[in-house]
Amino acid sequence: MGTSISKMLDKIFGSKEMRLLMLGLDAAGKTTILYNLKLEQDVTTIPTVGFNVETVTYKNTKFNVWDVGGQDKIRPLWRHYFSGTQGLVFVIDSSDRDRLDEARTELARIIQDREMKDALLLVFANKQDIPGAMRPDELSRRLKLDEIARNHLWKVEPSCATTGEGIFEGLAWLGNNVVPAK
Amino acid sequence: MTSQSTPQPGRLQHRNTLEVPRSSTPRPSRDAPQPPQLPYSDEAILATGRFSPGTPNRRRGSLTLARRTTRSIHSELHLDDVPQDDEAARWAEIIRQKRASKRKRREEEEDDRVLMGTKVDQNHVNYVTAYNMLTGIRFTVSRTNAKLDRELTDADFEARHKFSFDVTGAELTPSAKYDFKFKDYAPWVFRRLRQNFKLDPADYLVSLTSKYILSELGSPGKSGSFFYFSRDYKYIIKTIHHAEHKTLRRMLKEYYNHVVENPNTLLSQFYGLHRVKIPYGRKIHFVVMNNLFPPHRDIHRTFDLKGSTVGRDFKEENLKSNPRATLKDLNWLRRNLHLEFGPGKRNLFIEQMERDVALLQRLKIMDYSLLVGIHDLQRGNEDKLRDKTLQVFQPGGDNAVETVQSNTLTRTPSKLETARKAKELRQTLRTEKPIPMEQTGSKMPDDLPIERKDHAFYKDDGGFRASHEDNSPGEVIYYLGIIDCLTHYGIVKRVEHFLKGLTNIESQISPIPPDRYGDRFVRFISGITNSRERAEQEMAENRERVLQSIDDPHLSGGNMQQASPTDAIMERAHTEADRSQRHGTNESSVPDRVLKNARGTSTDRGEASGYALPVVEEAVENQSTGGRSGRSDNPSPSPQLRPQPNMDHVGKTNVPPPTPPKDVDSHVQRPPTPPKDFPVRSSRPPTPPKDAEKVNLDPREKDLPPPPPEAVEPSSRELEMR
Repeated sequence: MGTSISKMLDKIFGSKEMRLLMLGLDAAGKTTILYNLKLEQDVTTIPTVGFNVETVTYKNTKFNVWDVGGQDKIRPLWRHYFSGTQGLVFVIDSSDRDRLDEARTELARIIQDREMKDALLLVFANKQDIPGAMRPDELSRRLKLDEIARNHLWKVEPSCATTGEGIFEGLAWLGNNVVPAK
Repeated sequence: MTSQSTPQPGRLQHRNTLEVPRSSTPRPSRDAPQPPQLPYSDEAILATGRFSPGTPNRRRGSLTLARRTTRSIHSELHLDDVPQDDEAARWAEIIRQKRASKRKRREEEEDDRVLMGTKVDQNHVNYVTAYNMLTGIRFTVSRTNAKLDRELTDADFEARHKFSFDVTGAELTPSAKYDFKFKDYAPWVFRRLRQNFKLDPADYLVSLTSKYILSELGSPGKSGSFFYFSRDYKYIIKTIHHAEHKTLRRMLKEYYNHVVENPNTLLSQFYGLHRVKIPYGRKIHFVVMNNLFPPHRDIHRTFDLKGSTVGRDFKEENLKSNPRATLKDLNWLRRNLHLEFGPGKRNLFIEQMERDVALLQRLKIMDYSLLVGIHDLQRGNEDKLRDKTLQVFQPGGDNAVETVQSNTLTRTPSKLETARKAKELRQTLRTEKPIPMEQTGSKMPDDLPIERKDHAFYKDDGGFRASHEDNSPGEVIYYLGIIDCLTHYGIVKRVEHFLKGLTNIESQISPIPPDRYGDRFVRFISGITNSRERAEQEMAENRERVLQSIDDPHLSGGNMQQASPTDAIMERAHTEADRSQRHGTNESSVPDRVLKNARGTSTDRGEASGYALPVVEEAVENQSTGGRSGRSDNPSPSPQLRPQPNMDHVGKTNVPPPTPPKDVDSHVQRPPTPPKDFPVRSSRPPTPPKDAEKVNLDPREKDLPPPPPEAVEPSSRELEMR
């Protein structure tokens, strides 16, 4: 009841709500991104066995961001968070060329799930501060985004989670493109 | 910045403008060195590569998807004139993907099976409950696990958090298929407990909650307690009553401290306490705990031991229809079994048990039992139960199961036995026809689960291997644990028992105060813990000593040559049972009756036993008779005095549990049999023939050692059970 009232108010005042799911291989920087969004500072994190969830308001849009742990053992749990997701934030360690194939496989599996069919896809090309990190164009090519995400609106955003670079830009893109939930 | 297409109309255009250039660019092989990076700031160039073509068609499905890929490639090929190599590579990729997805589908199908029991899937009545439980567990455990570890505070033990789930999901809860409310208790404490029990957090989450599949072993409805096993058979979800729930919350702190100080505790390992409630439904409390039995070893025989004899018999004739049933104290004694541990393991085991029981006594908990699963290494996994590659017990053989279940239900009406009943059902369900699982051996760990490796009692292949007197390894592995330790001896219990005592003298349950319950438990278990050699030795060489300790020295030992340590324990169990019965009811009976009673029993025995008394059982009989008559010899007929020495005895037993023979001694010196059990005895005369019959059925059970030929002996036990 309370939520429906607040949703109505949101409509009146033109603010939007968006549910984001942040996934990616382990040690890609998901939790760091989340807390940089929330606290705008770099925090110490541990490997996430489970999830963190935070709500961030940016430019009139309230983002409900779910950061779910990426260790390969617990990846089977990801799909339980798909439902209701309006935007998938897939975080990639741009310096980890060895696991790019693995990342692509996981991304394809997620984005092609029926429950994700309407979700926007934002790929963070994270860890741009590391020398030799893949640039967004290379990443999108190697991830074959035009192929695996051809039914989705997508964008690759270069980012550096520890400094916060690129993160809000990515969020802004999501906020501009979200289709308000019915 | 946004070059996205609007869906439908511009479809072809977009595809050509956006995709063509990329597909015709040479694709660098994965291992080849990367071409020089474009400057990061060059937005204009990057733009095309960074945005999706915004393909309009959103209809998808794995099959059509693959098809469409093919089709689009065709069109692209014609349009773009892609070099042949590239085409081949693409085709290869597509084929590889198809194969992979097929393989994956197959894997998933196998993954969906459960190791044991009835699978709870969408078609099951309890699917919604199971779904809600698992969703709640996943959510609450994930939530706590993701945070940085910290020290516990007092508030953590009291903590509880409530969440509601619905289809849309809320700010802090994911969406769920059904509406329900979930309550999580002391999440930080249980996180620490799981850590302490060496569980891998990821493993816990995944094996419990990655799929909405559980196996159910238990009877819904009357028994009240549901048992669900995780697919890998490692974890048990057990629904508990509100009282048990309260007990666990009350004892949580002491339990936690105990577990931290006793890493090898035999007590049930609790991993989580939760509550689930569906709209307009009742609240369901449940715990997550360890499964003592390993997924990779057949358990050839299961016992549930409490140290009492009242109602502690599984009718041997029912074993035929239900060969995997959980047997009880009397079945154990009848088979003259021991927990065969040499001195080293024996001490380790008994010391730990004493410490664990001491905690339960302090917490005023009773009615727990020692669950003993026996894996015979010689039989290995070759029995029908499960073969080495594992078998699955698919739902379907419902009829057979149903009948077995109804048997079990009528047989044990007591509320307190509900949990045990469910445990027996766990066994009965194994009678379903096993279906071998192909290729799934890999799924089952050949190694024992990592969390068990450090545990003294669970490290021999997940259990505790028997040992000989010289501490060399024995022939069986025991899977041991103290279970059902959530029954608080509170006012409710006392009143309930008092009322039961009034209306139903032969009440099968005999809750006795926790202190005495614990003492009896420890004494019984210690008494049956002995290496095979020592047990035999005691039977042979120390016969005299045992006999003397068992019996009043005044009595002639003539008939007692066959006494064994087990008999001594049996005898103790008898007296304990007597005592418990007496305790539970009004003590106003008359001493005279004791005498009469004793006489009556002996008379009965004389009649029924006839000429040939059973070797082993005879000793028991004689002992008990002797004991009683010895007591009657005692010149203390006044009832007021009787309780006094009794209490003395109790006090004595509070001291570290005595070794069996000594202990027996103290028993024998006990005052006369309580008047309470008198009525039981008096009802006895008409029954013996029936009892005899029952006992005579025993030999048909092939697993049993030859039972006593006489009917009479067991009858006295049967009597007490009634």
